Amino acid sequence: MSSNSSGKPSVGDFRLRLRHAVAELPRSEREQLLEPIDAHLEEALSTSSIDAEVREVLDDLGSPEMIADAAGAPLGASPRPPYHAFVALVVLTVGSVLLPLIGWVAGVVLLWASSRWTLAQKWLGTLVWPGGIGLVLIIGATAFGSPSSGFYVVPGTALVVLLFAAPVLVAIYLGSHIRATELI
Amino acid sequence: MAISLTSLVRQGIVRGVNNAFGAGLTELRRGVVEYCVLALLAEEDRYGLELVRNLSSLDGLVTSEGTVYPLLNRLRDSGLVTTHWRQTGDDRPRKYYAVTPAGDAALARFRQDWSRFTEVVNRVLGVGGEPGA
Repeated sequence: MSSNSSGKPSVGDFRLRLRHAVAELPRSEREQLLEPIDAHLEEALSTSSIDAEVREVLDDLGSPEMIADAAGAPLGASPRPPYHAFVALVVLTVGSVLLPLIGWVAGVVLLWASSRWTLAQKWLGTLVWPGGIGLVLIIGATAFGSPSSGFYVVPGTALVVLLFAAPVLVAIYLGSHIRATELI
Repeated sequence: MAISLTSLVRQGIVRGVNNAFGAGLTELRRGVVEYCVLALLAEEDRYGLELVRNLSSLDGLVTSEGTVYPLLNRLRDSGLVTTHWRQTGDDRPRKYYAVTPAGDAALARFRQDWSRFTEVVNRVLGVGGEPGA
């Protein structure tokens, strides 16, 4: 919902969340969506200043994410299962181990080609970590393989676990935040 | 025979089934709401808030008012709806939506299809029909 049920409803917060949610749409499409909704809010709230009324206006509009999803879906089309998104995540994680670097690059390409994530989520998937788990394994193996690295083994182990867990956690996060292209 | 929105509601095709059918109705609603928008605009040109309030007063037809705006944009992009600015009295200028001839034609086609469709579905389900009919 657009407001905390207990807290003060915030129109500014709604507008901000909506702008964030539609950030991925082409600019003209974005403006054509924001303009009538801003007009809707302005007019609906011109006579309402009580918190309960403001909350009702925002609740009736629906969540910014729901509106953004409706804007991203083609007219009258059924939502497609997000197969491509799952493939992108598998390639990004497992693929980066099976085919170091090449697999990861392929995963990143699929990640950015997908319309199921926001820009920020795509950057997260790309930057944690460049090279993916495959590169982490190679670096880990190199560090442990080096005879002079005994002194660094303990912090090294923690680091490798962190480096290994982070992309897995990011993949789980991305997997649970695949956008559903629901219309209406 | 053209079926008006109000008679749809009266017949219980739309009313109340929202909660009962959940996801099933979402699918059904998806293909129907755009024609309800066209039907409302065919009655008269309406501005955004007015149209959205009209729609949401019809129980179960839209789950979120905000999602009507992306729908309106798509109808406009498809050439079924057009927009113009109008100012009445001292009010601020409002963007009005109107049906194009192509939108009228699409609505007429849908009215026929919908009539046939609901008739068949009602018969199969053993529901609907006017009392005594």
